[in-house]
Parts: sequence; structure tokens; C-alpha cells
Amino acid sequence: MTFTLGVADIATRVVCDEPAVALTVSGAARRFLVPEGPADVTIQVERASSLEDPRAEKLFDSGLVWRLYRDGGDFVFSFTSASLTPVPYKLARFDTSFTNGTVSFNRACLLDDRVLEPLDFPLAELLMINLLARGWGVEIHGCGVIDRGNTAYVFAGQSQAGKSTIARLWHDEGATILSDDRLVLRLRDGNVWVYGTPWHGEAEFAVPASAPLSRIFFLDHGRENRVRPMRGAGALAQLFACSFPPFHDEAGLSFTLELLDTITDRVPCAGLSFLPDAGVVSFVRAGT
Amino acid sequence: MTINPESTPTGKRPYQKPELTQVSLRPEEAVLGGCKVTGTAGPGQPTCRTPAACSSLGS
Repeated sequence: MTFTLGVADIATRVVCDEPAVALTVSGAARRFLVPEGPADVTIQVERASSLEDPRAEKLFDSGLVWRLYRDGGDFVFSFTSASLTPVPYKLARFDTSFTNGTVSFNRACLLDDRVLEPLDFPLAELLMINLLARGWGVEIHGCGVIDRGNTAYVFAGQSQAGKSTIARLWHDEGATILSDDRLVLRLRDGNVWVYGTPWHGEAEFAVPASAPLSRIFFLDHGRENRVRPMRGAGALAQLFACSFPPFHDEAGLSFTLELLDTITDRVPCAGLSFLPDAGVVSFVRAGT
Repeated sequence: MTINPESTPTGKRPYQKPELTQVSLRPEEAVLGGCKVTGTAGPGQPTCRTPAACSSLGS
């Protein structure tokens, strides 16, 4: 069985050669399924009777679900859960380019080992983050909006900044919401484009669309709608704080910073304090 | 004699004193350390249903 997921113009084909196994994609990710065709990433899925962490260099430990190892020339993600056993319930091994990989499920940890969801949280995002850092783009913590005239905005912010709130406000005013939590930014013909992703927030907006990015706003709660232009290092620092760089990877981190520098140089940035009502939509429209 | 920087013949921009601005990072968010699923506490917690169902880190 096979399926292909298309996020930010990156096609990931997932294949399982075991006839007894069905691959599944749940939730908003189903909207991002695309017809089979040329793939940028290919992942093979298999089941294993047991799994263990690689006896290799540990590059990073998230402190919760996942750890990253460097095993020879490969990167290996190990996933464990406190609700299960201490052994990995899943391993994902990728080559250095993150374009070829194998996902192995521990059958001992599965309620039903005939139905597998290879790209469940957080693997799909981990793959995207590491792939983007190899020259493809950057993932941002933000709400993406496509307004009238194909004008796109990013409302960036960490948790509780108001991304889902502002997503609902723009949606009520007729805009397309790419996501209320995660976006991808990529350069395309010299312009910065914003893409929706399946990884939504509380408001559950996730649309497989994209548009040239007009402005970036950094969200903040306020007693009035107010815009404060930002540029240079200040804008870059704010956007970095809302990005998902691979902290374990020096080259990837360097690329991400350079790309964020390019983005904040080409796209006007501003801090946006806002009241949680429709007035902020009119306010932004009037100012751009 | 007072020189107006904006009118200098060299066209140099006025000097701006460097400012230090602190931007907060949320490492637990940036490293995808958890998830928010209705009715559960997310991975790493006893009520977690991983790998049965999961969602991205909350917004």
C-alpha cells in the first residue's frame, strides 16, 4: 500500500510492502493527500517484533517523546511514550538528506498492528523541519491568512499569543486560513511564499494552499489595535523565536538563520497588538 | 557648532545607539516536546494514547 502527502510543495511518498498492513492518515493530514507521482521523499514502512534505541551517538533528546541518534551515516528518531513501555514504539531512520527513510513499528506496542499511521505526531513535523533546513525552507509557529486579492499574511506567535483567535476572526471575514498554528515559508522565484500545513491548532484550520507573503505580524495581546514596524535584527529575532530550527544541526541552524534574515529583509514585519474582535481585520486591511 | 547629521554631505545615517532586546524562546515548543489532544495530557503522560492518536503541539 502507498500514499503521498503533499505539504509546501514537498511530496512524501509512504510505502508498505506487507500485504496484511493498511496505512492510514488521520485528521487534517487527509486534506494534504495527493495523487501518486514524483516524490521528494520516500519512506518505507515495516513492522518489527521488537525495537531498541540505536547503540549510536545521541544527538538530541526532546525530554519527552523523541530522541535523535546519529548511526553511521543515518539519522534515527526513536519514539517512546510513558503510557507504554520504555522501549521505542517506533523508529524512523533517514539518510543525511532526509529524502529516504524507513519507519519501523514495534508490534508489541500496537493495539492493532494491521493498521499503521507512519506520519503521526511528531514524526511528520520532525521530517519536515529537518528537510526544510537542508535548503528547502522553514517552519513557522503562526497563523497564515490569504485575504482578498491573494494577499497573504502571517500572524506569528508562540502558544497563547492569539493565533487561533485571529484565525477565527479572519475566517469570519471571508479569508482563507492556511493554518492556525504551523506554516512553511519558502522562497519561490525570489519571493517569499507561505504554505498551509496539516498541523493545526485549537481552531483546526489546515488548508493545502499557498500564496506570496505580503506581511508578517508578531502577535501580542493589547487594549487597542496597534502596529509597530520592525526590521533588521529585531524582526529576525522575533521570527526566529517563532520558528522550528533543528537545534542539533549546526549547518541546518545556519541555513535557517540566513533564510529568516532574507525573509525579514524582503517581507515587511511589524508587531501587532490586537483586540480579539473583528476590528483587527479591518485595521490590518486598512493599513496594507 | 552643531551639525545636523541628516544634512551631512556624505549622506551618512544618524547614529543610533545599539539597543539590547530580549526575545523569549519556548524550547519545549520549538522541539515538539509534547502535544495537545482533547481529553488527554499528551505524550509522556500516563493518560497519553500514543501511538493511537496524537496532534501537534497546541497553538
